[in-house]
Amino acid sequence: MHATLHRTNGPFPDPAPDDGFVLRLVQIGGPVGLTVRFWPEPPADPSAFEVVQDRDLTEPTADPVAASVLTFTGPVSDAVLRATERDRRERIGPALEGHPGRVRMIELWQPELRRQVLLTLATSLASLEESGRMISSLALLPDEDEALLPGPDQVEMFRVEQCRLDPSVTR
Amino acid sequence: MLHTARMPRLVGMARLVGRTAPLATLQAALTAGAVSATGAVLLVSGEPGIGKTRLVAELTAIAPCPVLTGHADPEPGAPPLWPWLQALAGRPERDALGTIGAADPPRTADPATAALLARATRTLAFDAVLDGLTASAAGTGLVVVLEDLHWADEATLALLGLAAGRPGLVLVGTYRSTEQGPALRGALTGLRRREGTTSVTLRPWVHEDVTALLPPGTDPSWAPVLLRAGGGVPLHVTTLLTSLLDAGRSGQPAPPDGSWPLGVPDDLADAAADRLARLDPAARFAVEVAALTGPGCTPDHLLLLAEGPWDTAAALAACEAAVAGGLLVGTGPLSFGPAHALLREAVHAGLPAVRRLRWHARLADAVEAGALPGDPVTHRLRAAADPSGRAAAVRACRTAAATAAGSLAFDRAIELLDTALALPGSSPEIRTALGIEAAEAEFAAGRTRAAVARALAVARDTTDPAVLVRAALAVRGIGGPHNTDIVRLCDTALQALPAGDDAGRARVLAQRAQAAAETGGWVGLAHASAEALATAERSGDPAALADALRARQHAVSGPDGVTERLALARRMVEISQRGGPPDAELWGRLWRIDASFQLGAVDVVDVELGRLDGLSARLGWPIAHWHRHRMRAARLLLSGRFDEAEACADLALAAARLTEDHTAIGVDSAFRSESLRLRGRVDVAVELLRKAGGSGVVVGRGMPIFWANAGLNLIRAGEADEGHRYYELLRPVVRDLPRDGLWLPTVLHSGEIAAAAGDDALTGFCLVEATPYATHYIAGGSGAVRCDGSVSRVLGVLAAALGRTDEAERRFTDAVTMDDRIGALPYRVLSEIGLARLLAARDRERATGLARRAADTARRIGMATALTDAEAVLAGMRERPAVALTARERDVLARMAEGRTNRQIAAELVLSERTVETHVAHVLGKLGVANRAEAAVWAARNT
Repeated sequence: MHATLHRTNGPFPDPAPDDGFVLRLVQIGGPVGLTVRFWPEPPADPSAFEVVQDRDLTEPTADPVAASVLTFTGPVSDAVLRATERDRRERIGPALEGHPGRVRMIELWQPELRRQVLLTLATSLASLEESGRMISSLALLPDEDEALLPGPDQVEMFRVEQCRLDPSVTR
Repeated sequence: MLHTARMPRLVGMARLVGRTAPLATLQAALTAGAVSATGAVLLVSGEPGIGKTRLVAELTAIAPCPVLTGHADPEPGAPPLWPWLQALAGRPERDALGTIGAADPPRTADPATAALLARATRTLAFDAVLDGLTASAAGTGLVVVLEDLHWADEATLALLGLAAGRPGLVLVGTYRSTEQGPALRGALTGLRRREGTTSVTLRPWVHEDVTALLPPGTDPSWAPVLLRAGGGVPLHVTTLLTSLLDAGRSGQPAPPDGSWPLGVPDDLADAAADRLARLDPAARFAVEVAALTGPGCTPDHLLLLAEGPWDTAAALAACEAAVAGGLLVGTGPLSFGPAHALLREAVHAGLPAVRRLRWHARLADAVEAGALPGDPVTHRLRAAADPSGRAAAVRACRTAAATAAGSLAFDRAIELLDTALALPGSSPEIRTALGIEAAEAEFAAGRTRAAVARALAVARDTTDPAVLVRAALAVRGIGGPHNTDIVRLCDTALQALPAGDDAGRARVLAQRAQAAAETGGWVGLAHASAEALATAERSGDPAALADALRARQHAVSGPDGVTERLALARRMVEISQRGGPPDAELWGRLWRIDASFQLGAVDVVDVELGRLDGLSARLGWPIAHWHRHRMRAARLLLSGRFDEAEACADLALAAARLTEDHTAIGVDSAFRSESLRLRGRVDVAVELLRKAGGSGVVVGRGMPIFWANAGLNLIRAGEADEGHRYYELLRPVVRDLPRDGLWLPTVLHSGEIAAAAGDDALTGFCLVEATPYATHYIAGGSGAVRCDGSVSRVLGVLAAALGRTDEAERRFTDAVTMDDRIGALPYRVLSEIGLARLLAARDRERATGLARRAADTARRIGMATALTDAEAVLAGMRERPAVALTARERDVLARMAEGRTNRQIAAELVLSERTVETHVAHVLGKLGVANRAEAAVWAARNT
């Protein structure tokens, strides 16, 4: 599965596509509109991402209302990539297990730019904010190193305007 | 001590004879030096007995300022810095010298660190001494006389070298021209090179001199006889004359055949015996005791050795009688010494052996008990006539050697240990212990070859595992062929070690891993260091763990090892927190900084620098201060804060100077050359590197990283031919460099040099090899000197040189992002200029934006060359003629850009479709693009 991200400043100029899988997000407190389209085959757009992970979270069947988009601009090194993957798997994941209101997490990877985007869908903005607070208060695991966990270059919060995702297709 | 007249009161020697010219030369130099801003050095040489001391006595007697005097001692037991200790007796500066080696040796994870710390202590002590003397010399001048430098230890000569050039300080040194060792030769070479040094070599007397010596009433025919019999040597001639006068024959003519009529003395021993025999028994006893003690003979020495009831007054009277007889001289308020070293030797040799041995043993006992000052070694050695005496002498030598090594007097330590080894009868265990201590002292003295040879000799003579481990570890951290021997020593130790000794095994395995890597076995280092680490972990021994972690850190110092190095660094820090050596934390934090630079984790670098500040303050070690200042300088340079960076580099260099560590000069030149280059002073950078490369003191000048750095800067400075020479050095070796901590910077710089040389093959090789590390930043993986921003920037340079514009654009774009993200302003500027050049012809708007931003930043932070380059890119784009489209062609292009078809355009502009096709063809041709889509992109960017 692949994904393209299209940003606009201001209202979406075009109506939402009526086919395929799509997320339309409107920035909270900002002008940005973000359209994420998912494609079963690689699209012609050279900046398209690969969907490397798509996980159900605590409330996978709920309708998402809010979304966070974390961007690691890149180029991200292999060492950092491995460390952040492990960090999510072994530190953050277990800590957030059971945290209410979290619907789905989709990890995108752009191999040419070595750029990473993490989309998290939730039932409320409060749920996302609470998750963020929990993560920031977590200590590193004993053999983790802050030098390998630089954090995202950009963190944005969105309201979900449209969500048309079929789990069986995106994973 | 303040000088007292030391002139032997020999008959006829009241006047100085035959030395008018040298005395005048020395007086003039002394008078000038006492008021000079750079002081003076006066060197007086000549054969034994030629009158050096006599001349200096005459010189200092009329000196217009205070005079301090000390004498080197030929005895092996003389303490390091003995002449200075005597000269400074009673002065506060002597306390400063006492601090050398006084403190407990620091516990370190690295033996080299201990030596650097000891050196720093010595440097600080020397500075304190010289500051004190310089303060005393202000206004009036101050003379320091150091006699008999041919017997001086290296520390004495080192301090003499440092004292030269101090304002108002006049240094007078005497030495035998016939007995110069390597240390003295080196010191003299240095002293003679400087301005303000005056050298005088005393020649034997001639006929006129001996004639002038004769007292009134002496028949002049004795002059040629005395000259010939005494060989023109003043001491011999005056001794003969004394005998002649005592025999009452001086008024008679000499024998017609010119022969010496008194039978003896034809050598000084006989003459000394004659003169001794003429003294009263008490004075004779004083001379004999002084022959044993040397210049520090006091009444207490006489009281100790006297057989009958003596008191201090009697002992003092005996000494003064001997002074009156010309056989002793005053060396202090209550101390005396033989009038001449030759006389001392003669008297000592003439003493009955039984008495001599007994006296030396008693003196040694008294010194060891603290009843008398001094060192027992000399006495123990002279009393070593039986097995117990020899054993005591060996013990004294080992103790004194340890003290000397603690004071950095490694030459003295080696001499003492060799003396002990030369004594017969020691057990094999003692001999191997002496051998291994000597090996360690040789290595500490910088004599690697001798150290390895001694370690090999020890390993041949013992099967003791503990000794074999010491032999294997005696020499560390060196390059070159001796590592083959170290590997052999390690193998021998590993075979001997018992199964349970994991600590010893781990240390030897770590040593073997690093030594083998130096002999071409880099590939095996990864496995061997892992084995060492696993063994050290089993042992739990902090020293073994520290050694193994160092070996492992070396093994993974290449860019692929960055994650593991962070983990190793954490463990190294933990060792110090669990009771291990305190400098383990220093190394751990430095390793973390290196790795964090490579990852661009500058926030972590900042945290570690803060911790390094605290650690340095706690340790107080100059080496820790050096590292913290130089790493902060690297961090500031990365941010473009050049003035602050160079100020930190100054602090680093000042701290390094204390340790006498020459690697610091190489590190400093590598740092400053980059700072200067970024500021637009590549010409100065080149001069600095030329000086560093030619000075012979820069460790690493024979290394590819140095060639790459120097060559690149030379090419940037327009010195293409000279830069090309480094390219020729690099070309055959770049492909086979070990993937250690220097590999990535070396390959990247080599690629840039190859690109400048037009060597596409090597440029391509470097590009391919370094591309996997495009996400890294350029910094060494083991002892980083600086961080040169993103790897992607250099990859952009290489790709552009090869004409791979798409790849270059991508790399430069990444570089701008990466350097921007970590605030690496100088390198972001360079990346922006590289990208702007690349885009100038095809994306003017983007190129203009990049060049303007680069110019603004370069102007703000002071990058002169980069500013010029950025403005040149902007000017080039302004001057490049705009594409000359006609008004109708612009109309057509605008509609093409909006996606209109030819038919639509024809309709809108009221033209035929054929005419529109013609306009479209002209537009594509003038823009140099292939199709309508590219024309649309051009229009979007340029209209």
